[in-house]
Amino acid sequence: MQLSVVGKPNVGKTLLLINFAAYLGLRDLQLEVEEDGIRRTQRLSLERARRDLVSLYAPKTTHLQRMTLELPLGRQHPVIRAVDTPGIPEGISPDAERRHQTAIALEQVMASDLVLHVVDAGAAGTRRPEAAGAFDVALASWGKARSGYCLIANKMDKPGSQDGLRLIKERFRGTALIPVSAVTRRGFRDLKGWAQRILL
Amino acid sequence: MSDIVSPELNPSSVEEVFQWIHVGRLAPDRAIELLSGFQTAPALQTSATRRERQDQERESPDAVLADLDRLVGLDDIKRVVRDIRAFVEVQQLREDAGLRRNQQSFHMVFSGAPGTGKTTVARLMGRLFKSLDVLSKGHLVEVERADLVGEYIGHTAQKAREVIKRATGGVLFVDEAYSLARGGEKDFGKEAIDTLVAAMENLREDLLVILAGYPEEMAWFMGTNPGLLSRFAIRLDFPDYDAEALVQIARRMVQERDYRLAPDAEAGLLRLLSENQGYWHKNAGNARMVRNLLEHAIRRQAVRLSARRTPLTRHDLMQLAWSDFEGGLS
Repeated sequence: MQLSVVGKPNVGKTLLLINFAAYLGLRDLQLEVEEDGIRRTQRLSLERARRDLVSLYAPKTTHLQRMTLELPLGRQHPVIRAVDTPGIPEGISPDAERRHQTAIALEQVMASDLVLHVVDAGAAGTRRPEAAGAFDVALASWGKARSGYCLIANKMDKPGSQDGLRLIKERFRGTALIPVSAVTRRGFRDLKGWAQRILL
Repeated sequence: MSDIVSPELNPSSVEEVFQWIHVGRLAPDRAIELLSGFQTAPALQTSATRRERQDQERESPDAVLADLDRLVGLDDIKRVVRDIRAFVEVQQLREDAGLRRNQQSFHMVFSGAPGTGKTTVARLMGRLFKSLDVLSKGHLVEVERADLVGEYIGHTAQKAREVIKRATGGVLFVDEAYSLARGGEKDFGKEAIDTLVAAMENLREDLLVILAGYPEEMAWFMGTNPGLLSRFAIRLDFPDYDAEALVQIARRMVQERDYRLAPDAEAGLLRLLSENQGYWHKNAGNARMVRNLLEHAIRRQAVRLSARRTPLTRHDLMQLAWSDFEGGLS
């Protein structure tokens, strides 16, 4: 089983994944990083992962990060390979490495059983680069036809996120939507419930 | 964002979409739309109708050759392509009759100036070999030195293998291939060539490699590596178009865009092109230069028309006058 987390840069994909793993009771994760064609595996405690992999201000994930998580969902413990993708910017990036990462990220998304599409509820309706755009609309309409796709409105702890959530609901009508805050762990129960329904 | 992408994008496979993101032809949102075309279409059909559809979608070699014939000039190349088709078909008949199959690789070298149709013909080759059942997908993956050569030891093989993986089932088109041998003995380009050659041997059945570049440089490149010379049996020369062929190309291009060349424009174009013949070919790029000229003229025509006070007829909207072309080359 493969789960992938996808979205614009700096919407909180990595922290969502790490904190969700913590919520499910995991202590550490196997991190597999592919950088310039070389694959490294390391075992990281969730504490350490949070410190090393997440930045509050700038997008930090620039390469595809594969994490193996044993998610205790339901009676069985299906081992899920979680793929954390680098943020996908709107439009054609002038940076070749960025485009390369985008191609790989989309390739992974297409191959995943579960796709968590993260948007930033705090930035919705603003002109910030995290705000949902044409890419998010295209991805959502791709996901509508699939069962393992879910739109996550992240950063529900931010001021103004309620209005943002309303905008997102309007814009992505008809898509499965779970409001979540990766920081306060609000909405993780819904997320777990959704994943269980899909996996069982 | 998607409006800057030209509408003619029509990928033949998922790999091609990823390749296009990679080279910067596609924005992510457009890419998803194209990808979902590949994903949802088969899911909604039963297997029986899917098989039927595949049969319908499969082109006949004749259709591909008809497209090839529509290209201006390139007579020698058209002949060679026909030879290849005949060879493949006869080999298949021989196999059906229980005779031994004559192993031959179809890797090619295309030499010619930019804009002489190398990429276009490469794309057609992919389609032809797919229609003949030699390649499973027939898509075209266009790469250059930077896509194949890495920055440190071990990086090159990795990079080259990734490119080859993308191209498997289709055509790997290496543009400016001679630059792989340019850096001398210590350059990683050599490693890229070795990886490529190894892949050509291993994937003999399902990969077509086309090396392309300027004629002189390609001749030098093939000379530096005798192993290459023997592995690329088919060598096609793309001659520069002469002025008349270029005007013919221009005529066809305007037709496709729903425009028409005024008689004075056609005469002026012919004059301009024949006066400069042999002078720009190296740098400006043949057919590509014509396209740039036309695009310039189309913009100029719009300016000319919008400045006019009288009502515009359909004829006015289509006609490109010589005055629209003037100054387009500079």
